[in-house]
Amino acid sequence: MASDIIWHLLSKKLTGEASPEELAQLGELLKQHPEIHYPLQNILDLWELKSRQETPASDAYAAHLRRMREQTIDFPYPGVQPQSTLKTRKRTPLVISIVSATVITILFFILRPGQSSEPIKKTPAVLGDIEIHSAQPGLRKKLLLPDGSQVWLNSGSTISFKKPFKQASREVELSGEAYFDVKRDTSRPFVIHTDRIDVRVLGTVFNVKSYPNDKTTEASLIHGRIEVNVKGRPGRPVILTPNEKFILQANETDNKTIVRGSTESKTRIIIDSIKYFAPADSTIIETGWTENKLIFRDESFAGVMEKMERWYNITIRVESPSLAEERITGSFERENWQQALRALQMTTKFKYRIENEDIILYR
Amino acid sequence: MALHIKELQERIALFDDEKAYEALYLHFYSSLRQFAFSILRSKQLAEETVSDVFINIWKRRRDLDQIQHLQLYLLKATRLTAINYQKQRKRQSSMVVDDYWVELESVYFDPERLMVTEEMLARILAAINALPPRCQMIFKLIKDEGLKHREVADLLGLSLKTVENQMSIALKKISESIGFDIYTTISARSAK
Repeated sequence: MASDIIWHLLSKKLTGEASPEELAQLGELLKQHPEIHYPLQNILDLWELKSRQETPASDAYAAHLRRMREQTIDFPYPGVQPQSTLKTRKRTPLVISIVSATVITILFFILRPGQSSEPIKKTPAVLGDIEIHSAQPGLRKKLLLPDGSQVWLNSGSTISFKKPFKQASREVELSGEAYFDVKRDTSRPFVIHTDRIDVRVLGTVFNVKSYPNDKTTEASLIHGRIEVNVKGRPGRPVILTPNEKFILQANETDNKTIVRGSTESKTRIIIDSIKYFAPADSTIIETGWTENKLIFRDESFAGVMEKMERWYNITIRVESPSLAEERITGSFERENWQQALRALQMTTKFKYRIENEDIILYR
Repeated sequence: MALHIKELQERIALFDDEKAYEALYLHFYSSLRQFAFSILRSKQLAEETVSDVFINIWKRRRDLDQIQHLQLYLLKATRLTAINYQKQRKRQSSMVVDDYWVELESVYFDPERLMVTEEMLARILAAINALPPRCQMIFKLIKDEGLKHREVADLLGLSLKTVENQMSIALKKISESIGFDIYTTISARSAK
């Protein structure tokens, strides 16, 4: 019966899987079958409501713990003195990234105040009332700011902020690259100062890249809204919406499409969309490093070597210009640098040797 | 809600956080227990099934933060564990999908938030309970667990077409039970 399609389309609408065409088709069919409006509306009304009675689970949890104890499973049972071995098993994210190469998932969440667990961080350097955190070259580090915001520092990056943090606005200084998950607080804007840009946010998830030696400064937005102010150009902030990326170029060297540009000075501002690695893979290139993946897509060999230098904390020299200009695409997750180079050798012709502590690539 | 779960996963994987583990258990207990019960028809075994699933979660906690869709993962684990228990009981040598049995009282709507009359509600509940077992299970997984059609297909080892057809049947039957009764409608509307 023709109206049977209605139920099929309704089912997809309820799970959120209906395409715009299907929703339109559903609307059309409903016009032809007014007798279904009433039951359909009731179903829609009911859909949001839970239809499972929640059974009290705390008794069941107690029974579960008893069962675990019977099976002598090592667990920090409440009320039992924690053994010293438990503390040494706790690991900071950066230990995980080196030792067991576990992928750290990108986390899109907002910490509620009063959380019992605290990420273990190295004792930060404190100068007067300024707190400084750094990630050593070759390592990445995650930290929790006093307001509950989270920051993942990429290698060779430093972040600092004045204490107390809870003032009229939350301000940090960044050199390098960091991924932020800022706790929403509309009364206190969160501002990130880098060498050339200030990024202002309310509560959102994004990445900021401003290495001193890089020619470009970038801010990539994943969720929410951020406002980017270029220093020395007051009154013209750029607002990013999700999946947009802001790139500030110090001089005109690359061939990028200008979407919004400035003709006043040599500084070019480009709004680009954030590149995903491949349509089927939703890992975002800009923040792939927070998942412990090094990702590059159609980038110059030289550029990728620069990334690898930072990623692995090694020094690489590319001797052949033809090699430096080759374009490559790929990703590394758990490989060490030797494996990474050998993997690249499979698709790109080159050799390498080691001189003192430098790695030389040549043809 | 999904964000909260990811946070718990990370706390357990990175910090052996017992409080997070408990929160995770409490969050998923009802849904997993009910799903296990529908396969095993035994409250005792259903509880043990959920307990086994969570023991494994603890044993393999180091990788817990890598799991993208934990709800689906737990449902799958529950299904496999329950099937194993069933095999052990030697009642059936293989899982027969039609044997899903859903507790009558498990379909429950919060009366405080209803915009329909109690009589309407009773009719709808009866219609849901009258659905064939497999159809009812699919309907509940989509409605209560919020799974997509292909996720249900994946979980139950059915084809996508089968799941879509069963949902159509369920919705059609439910709507038929609601029917269109002008007197009920008028009195319901004026009662609001």
